[in-house]
Amino acid sequence: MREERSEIISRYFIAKYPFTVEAQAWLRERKIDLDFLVKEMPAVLVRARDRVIKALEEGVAPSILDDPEAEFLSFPIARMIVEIVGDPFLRHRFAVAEAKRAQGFFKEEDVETLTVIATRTFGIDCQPVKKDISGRVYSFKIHFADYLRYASGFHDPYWKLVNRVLSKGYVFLAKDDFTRILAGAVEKRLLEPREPPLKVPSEIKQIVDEVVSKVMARRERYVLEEVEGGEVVEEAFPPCISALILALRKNQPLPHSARFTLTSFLLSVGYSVDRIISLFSEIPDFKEEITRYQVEHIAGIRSGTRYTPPKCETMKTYGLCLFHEKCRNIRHPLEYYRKYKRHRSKEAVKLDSGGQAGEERNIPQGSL
Amino acid sequence: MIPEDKRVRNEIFLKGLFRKYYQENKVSPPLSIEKREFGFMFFGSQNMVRHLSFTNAESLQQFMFSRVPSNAFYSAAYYSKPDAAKMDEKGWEGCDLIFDIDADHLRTPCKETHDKWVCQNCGESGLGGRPEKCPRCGGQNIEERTWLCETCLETAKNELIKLIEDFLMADFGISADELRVVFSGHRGYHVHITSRVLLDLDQNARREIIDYIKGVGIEPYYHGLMEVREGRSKILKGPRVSEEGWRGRLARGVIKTILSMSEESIPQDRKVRAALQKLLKDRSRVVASLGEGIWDPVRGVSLDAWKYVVKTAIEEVGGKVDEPVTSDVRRLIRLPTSLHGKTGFKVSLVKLGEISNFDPFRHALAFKGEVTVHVNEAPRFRIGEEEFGPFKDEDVELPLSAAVLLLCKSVAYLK
Ligand code: SF4
Ligand SMILES: [Zn+2]
Ligand SMILES: [Zn+2]
Repeated sequence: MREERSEIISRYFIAKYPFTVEAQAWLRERKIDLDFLVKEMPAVLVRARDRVIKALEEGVAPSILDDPEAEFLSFPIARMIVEIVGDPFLRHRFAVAEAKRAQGFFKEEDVETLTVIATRTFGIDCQPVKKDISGRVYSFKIHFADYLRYASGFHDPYWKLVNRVLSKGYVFLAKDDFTRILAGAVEKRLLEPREPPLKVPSEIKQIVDEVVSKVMARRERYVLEEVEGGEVVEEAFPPCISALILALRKNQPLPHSARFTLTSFLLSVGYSVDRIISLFSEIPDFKEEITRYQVEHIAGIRSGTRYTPPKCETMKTYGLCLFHEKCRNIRHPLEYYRKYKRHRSKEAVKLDSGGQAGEERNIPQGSL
Repeated sequence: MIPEDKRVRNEIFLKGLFRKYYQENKVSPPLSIEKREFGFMFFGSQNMVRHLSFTNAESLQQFMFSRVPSNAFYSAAYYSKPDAAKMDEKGWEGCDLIFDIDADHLRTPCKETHDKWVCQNCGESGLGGRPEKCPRCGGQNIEERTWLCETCLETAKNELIKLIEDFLMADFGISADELRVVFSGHRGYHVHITSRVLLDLDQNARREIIDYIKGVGIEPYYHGLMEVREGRSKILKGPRVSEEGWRGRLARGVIKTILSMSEESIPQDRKVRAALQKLLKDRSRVVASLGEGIWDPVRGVSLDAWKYVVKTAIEEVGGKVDEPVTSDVRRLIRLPTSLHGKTGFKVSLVKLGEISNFDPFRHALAFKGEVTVHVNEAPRFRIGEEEFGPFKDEDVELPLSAAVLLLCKSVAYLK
């Protein structure tokens, strides 16, 4: 009877947390063969497909615990599909969705279970504590190095180390914050690319093909979403933007505000991430990895929120505005673009009359 | 300026002395020497030769003795191929956590008396830190001539002790045997931490550590400073002095700030000023109350005024470390027990228990003997027990370490 009970608990555990070492050990012990799974357990394939496609399209992973075994087995299959497709965007969406799913369960979990997951699966140095600081209850302490490994990527000041209680090497965390860190660990783990298998059963291949076409469609839509539509008309760029492009072409380093402005503007008018990266590749301290990260961040590929370029008023405070006759009544660089792009397509205005294309100027120095 | 031929003679002389030092003294190799990149500067050149590596301590010693570099550096990082010419081919495997405290970045009033700048364009010169542009010709090529000063080094040492005791040990939980303290040989100190669990921290994580130490980005709200409603009135709650981490530090810093604040130093802003004057009038009661964790014993002190006090307090109790040295995971740092080419002083390992007694002008000296030099200009300085200078265009017989300092600083030449 007791046996039975603990078996059920552990089956739910692996269904909820398929990324844990315990779940992987379970899988190894059962020696489940891929072919057998595909032929005899079609429910697993259906769930695996769901997991990937929901992650891609809705940013969530389903969690149905009615059949814990199928729920669990769908995870390694889903992950395999993601690896075979091999698309970073998909991998990212999948990792985020799975991390969110896990965090949902973490919130209901007791401190001991969370500690076990953190230490055994992720090697996080942490302990449950009972600490009350001025009325706030802290249930965990975690070594600062592990805290930084995950939280230094969170941009809210709330997560800055300096705003935390740090003592004798450990950061004190409330349970909610701890589950956020743990979810971050799940995401990071799933972002690590893995070798896809050499031989893939045709049933899985089918799903892969479907996912590939959905990824393509999704990406295209993504790039064009909220985008002006149609071709990019560089002649209609406002003077501030043209100057920044010129500065880049002349290898002038740009301060963060300038890079941000340029990137968000170009994304809004329909430049692809890669095209922007290649533009930035001309500056001397170019680092592809970092630039890609930043451009994708602004594009919202990582977070889902795309940034828009600053309005003219803000541009003035950055010292980036190059007001021109034609900027009259314009309040936003994108408004300028829309107006003059329309004009051009109607051939209503002769654009070569203005000196707007790339006046030379000194961009304030600084680096990202 | 030292004429060319005399400069060359100086260099030959210094190189001979450095060689003798490396003949008689073993340099202490960094941990995992085979994974470190080395860089050196040589007499008569301003360039750094990089991307060198050594498989063991003996080959490094052999190099020091045969090539006699004027300055020696190694990477805080560990690489699988430390001698690869391109950074991305080196195979980064981790990096020690390094802190740098340098008088260059500390505000010491004495700099106005001993540091000098000279415009390389028009020759204009002045005292103190280097201006951004030459005030006479607007040129930007300005040479700085910094001096090694006891007050500056003492200030740096106090910051060092604060860094180690208040931050690294108390907050970050680093133990005594995990850290190595090094006198840089010039104007500051380095702390090296080689703990395994910290090696893989990336730039962002290291920057967070620096921000923590400096108090950058603190939101006092997260440390409990907030207005709360109590019945019909609002009261200001804040952290207590005895609390851990920045909470207690903030409370202690605020008390310190209020105690040391003077009427003249408070800002002109009318609202803030009036509030602060109230605080100061009741200083002792305010301080006593803060000790109890009650932040508004005096009515009418706005949150803005408190924010000003808090900001000043953070300046006061925050650490003064140099950010890039810590956050750059590919940087080269000075090799302990080598000689510093700008002073001839030993880049010295300082035992933790001996920091307060460490005297760079006594314990970092590398040479014995005497020599006569012609000194163009030098402020007063001390070597060992003895004080020297100030000198102006004169021949003097000096202990070798004193003479080497002046030769390295290019303010004297060999007779
Ligand atoms: S007014 Fe607006 S669009 Fe025109 S240059 Fe300034 S920021 Fe750019
Ligand atoms: Zn000048
Ligand atoms: Zn000084």
